[in-house]
Amino acid sequence: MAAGQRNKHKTGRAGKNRRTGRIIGAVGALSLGICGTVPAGNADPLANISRNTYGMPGLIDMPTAEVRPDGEFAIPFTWIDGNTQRNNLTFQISPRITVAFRYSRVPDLLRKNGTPTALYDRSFDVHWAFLDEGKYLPSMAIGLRDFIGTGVYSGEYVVATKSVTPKLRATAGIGWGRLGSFGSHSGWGTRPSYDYSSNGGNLNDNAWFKGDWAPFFGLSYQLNDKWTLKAEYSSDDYVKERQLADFDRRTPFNFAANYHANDYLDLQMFYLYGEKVGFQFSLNIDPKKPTFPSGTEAAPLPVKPRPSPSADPEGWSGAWVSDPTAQPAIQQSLAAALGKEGIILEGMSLTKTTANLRVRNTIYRAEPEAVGRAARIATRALPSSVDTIVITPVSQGMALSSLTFRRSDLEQMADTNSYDMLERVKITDAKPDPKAMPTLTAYPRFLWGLSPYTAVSLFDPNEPFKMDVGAELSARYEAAPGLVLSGSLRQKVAGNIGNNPEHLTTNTPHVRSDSAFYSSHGDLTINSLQAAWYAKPGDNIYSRVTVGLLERMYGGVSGEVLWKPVDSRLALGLETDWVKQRAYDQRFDFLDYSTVTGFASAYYDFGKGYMGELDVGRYLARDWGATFTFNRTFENGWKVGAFATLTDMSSTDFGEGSFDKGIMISIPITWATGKPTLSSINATIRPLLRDGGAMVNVDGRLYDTVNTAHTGELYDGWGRFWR
Amino acid sequence: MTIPMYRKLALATLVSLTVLAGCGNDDITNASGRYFLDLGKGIAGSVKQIGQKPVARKQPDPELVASSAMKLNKGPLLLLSMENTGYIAPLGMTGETGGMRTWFTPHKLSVITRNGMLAGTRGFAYDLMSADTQATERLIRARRAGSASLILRHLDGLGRERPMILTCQTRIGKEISYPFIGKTWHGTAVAERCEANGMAIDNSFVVASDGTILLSRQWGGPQLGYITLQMIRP
Repeated sequence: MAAGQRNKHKTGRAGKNRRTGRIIGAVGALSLGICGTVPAGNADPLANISRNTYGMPGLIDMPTAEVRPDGEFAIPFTWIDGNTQRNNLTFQISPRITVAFRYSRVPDLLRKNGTPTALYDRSFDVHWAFLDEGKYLPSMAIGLRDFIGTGVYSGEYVVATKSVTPKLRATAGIGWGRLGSFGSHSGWGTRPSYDYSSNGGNLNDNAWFKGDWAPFFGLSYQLNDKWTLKAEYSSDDYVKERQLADFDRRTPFNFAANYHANDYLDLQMFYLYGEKVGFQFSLNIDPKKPTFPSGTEAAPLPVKPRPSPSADPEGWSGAWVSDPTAQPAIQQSLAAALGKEGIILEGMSLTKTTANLRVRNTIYRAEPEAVGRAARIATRALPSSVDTIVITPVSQGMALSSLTFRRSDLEQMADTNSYDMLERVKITDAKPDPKAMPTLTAYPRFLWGLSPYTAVSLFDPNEPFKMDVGAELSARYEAAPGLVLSGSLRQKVAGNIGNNPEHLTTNTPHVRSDSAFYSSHGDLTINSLQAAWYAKPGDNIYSRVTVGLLERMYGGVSGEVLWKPVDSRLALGLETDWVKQRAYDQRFDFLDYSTVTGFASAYYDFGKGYMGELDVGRYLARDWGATFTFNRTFENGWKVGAFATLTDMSSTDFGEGSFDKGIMISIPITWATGKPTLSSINATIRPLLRDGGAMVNVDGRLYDTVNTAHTGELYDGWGRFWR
Repeated sequence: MTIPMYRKLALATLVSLTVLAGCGNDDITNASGRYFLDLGKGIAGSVKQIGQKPVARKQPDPELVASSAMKLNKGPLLLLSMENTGYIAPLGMTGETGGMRTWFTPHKLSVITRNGMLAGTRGFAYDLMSADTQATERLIRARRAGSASLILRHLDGLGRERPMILTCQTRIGKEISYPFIGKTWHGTAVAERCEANGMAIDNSFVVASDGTILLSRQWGGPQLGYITLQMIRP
């Protein structure tokens, strides 16, 4: 079926238009992409082969107008003789924009009682390749290096790169700030000088593209598919290093050789300024290349077509409906079959022609895979007169959506192109189903687990990498749909995060900065102990109330309400938490500090995996403000994002860093192992842990719980429906 | 960090990860522990193999596999052979809708055929999700030379089902007879060459006079490779 024909079947509903775009996009564009050569005139950003010392697309210290593969996430570690370190984390957030977060060590730049000590600095970069290379035009990019933060690497640039031959690329550009310090010409405006005593953390936008500028240029030559050689003329004069540290810049020329060991690993060696040798070790992860793309879960049972009416007159006539033992028997066998595939049948309503199965997915990362398997099993157990099968995914006892299938479609289209089935299914909000009979074996349910945990603390200048390891015992008792009691207990085995904790000298309440005091207690600490109640008070409205020890630092009550229609890009929520700060030993005692926090939140799905969130309200230190979060979710569940919170807490009160910000990464474990599981590795990295803009870390917030079975995620994962 | 602390931490991490990975019935808590345990086992396994000569795996005899399957299973049977991995197993039919048949191996891996044409696999990690084989099937089963298109779909790294469109030419070959499990099978050889942008693959079939595909070697995708399906019992 051609893409054009598909279009004609669509109705005009707003929700459907979004789906049209997705289906046509998914099938039409991709069929071109997979097997067609790129049509002439279709430009692409220039792909970078090896990075610079800052982990960004570039030569050695200088940038180039190249980009990394879209979606690639990497950790390049650079070490330069004298123990200068640039530990970078880079992410190609879109085909043209590269961002980086860096933790650097610059030796001897600080003085502590007269003796030189190293400066540890956090910085963020952004790089935008705005022009693609053409026949005569070079590719061009503009970038900001170290644009928030105390500015030791601050610089801006505009750069152009041209492929002279397929293997040789030439780059030339202009830099400002640190990149305009050697061979400089005066520019416009004055650039404020680097202020060691400042709290940093602010956008230093009053400095961008101001002050002296200088040219830089270089060459990269790809010897073969493993080796690349580079040479550059650097406009970075290393002013501070020459003044304060033992750095002698003998020449502006730098050289490097990069070895591309495999898709995941690059090794590089540099010779800098005629003086220093450096190395880089870079780990690249492309979320679009999982180990086992279709997963290794066992094959699903085949759809069973109905026997002919002559072979099964009772089934087709519907006479079985009058038998009161019919539904319980069918429900029991369905629950057993679904249970074997990791799906819990929470309830079912059954009439002569329609079955509505309320199912909870416990292992498949993509909800459509659970829906597809439930639909297959339904065709194997339901009597022949049932010709409409509705699958209602449920989470925490709340029905999230309803997917209505015609049984004849399932029979005729089994194991064909999954997107053909996507056109035939009706996805709607889950209406209350009073006729549903609960499956008695589904509740209560008790789960427990004993596993290791790790906690990492970074960026303390005295000890940049600290880690704790221990054991965690967790348990979960699901008393009824939507009513969950859960808790976890931790025992630290070894670690140094809690060594020598210190109180900050700020005069704001220490709502988060005393974290090290909590870490210093490790014996049988109660990480959480709470009761949660989830409900669906109305169409498209979900609610949650959680009571107890909500996280290791706070206990109290948290309440949340979320409005999210099944096919809406926008969701709105309200949350309020009344909490008291827990005692450092994390048992049942509390400290004196208590407060109420509250937020109004808006979530917006921009499409193509980009999501934004705005939370406005009152934070733990009684400061008022807003948090902006932006993340990119890939169809396979990888999520990378960043957030920043601005509140009315003054930057002097906040302290170093000026405002709370950080990045988060979530990697689904099934991406690496292929085995079906909902589990994921989640990390939130904050350059600094301070007391402004702090929120309570409550488990099980509504948006992520509800979103898994709404049209955005259902469409993204629909390729697995027949899996 | 002082050195003794490093060692203590490293030992503690190893100990806690290995001892605690996988206790309890809560999959969500245990999955990351189990992942590291599996990772550790994988690394230990490959470390053990360093310097050892790879042991040639004994290939099971297809005739034996087929005849023992015939004793256990009275329904339609196929013999599956995956060239990439050397996996040989019987396929028993578990479901049939129209011409689509779903077959399972004893290891719960599944193959889906449409009138004998490979239409899908499940459980092989780089599964063929679906295939539009109707056009090429018409030529092959009718033993006619000609041109038709074949669409194979796989999941990409992001979980999207992506089509690969191949243009195929069929050529008719000689009459073939071969012995298998005590019978002699007769059919016509049909060769199919499929191309897509510089890449070419060759599928081959032995088609009986009534159009049934008795034996075939079909390509399932770049990672899946060639799959041979041999009819044991129709």
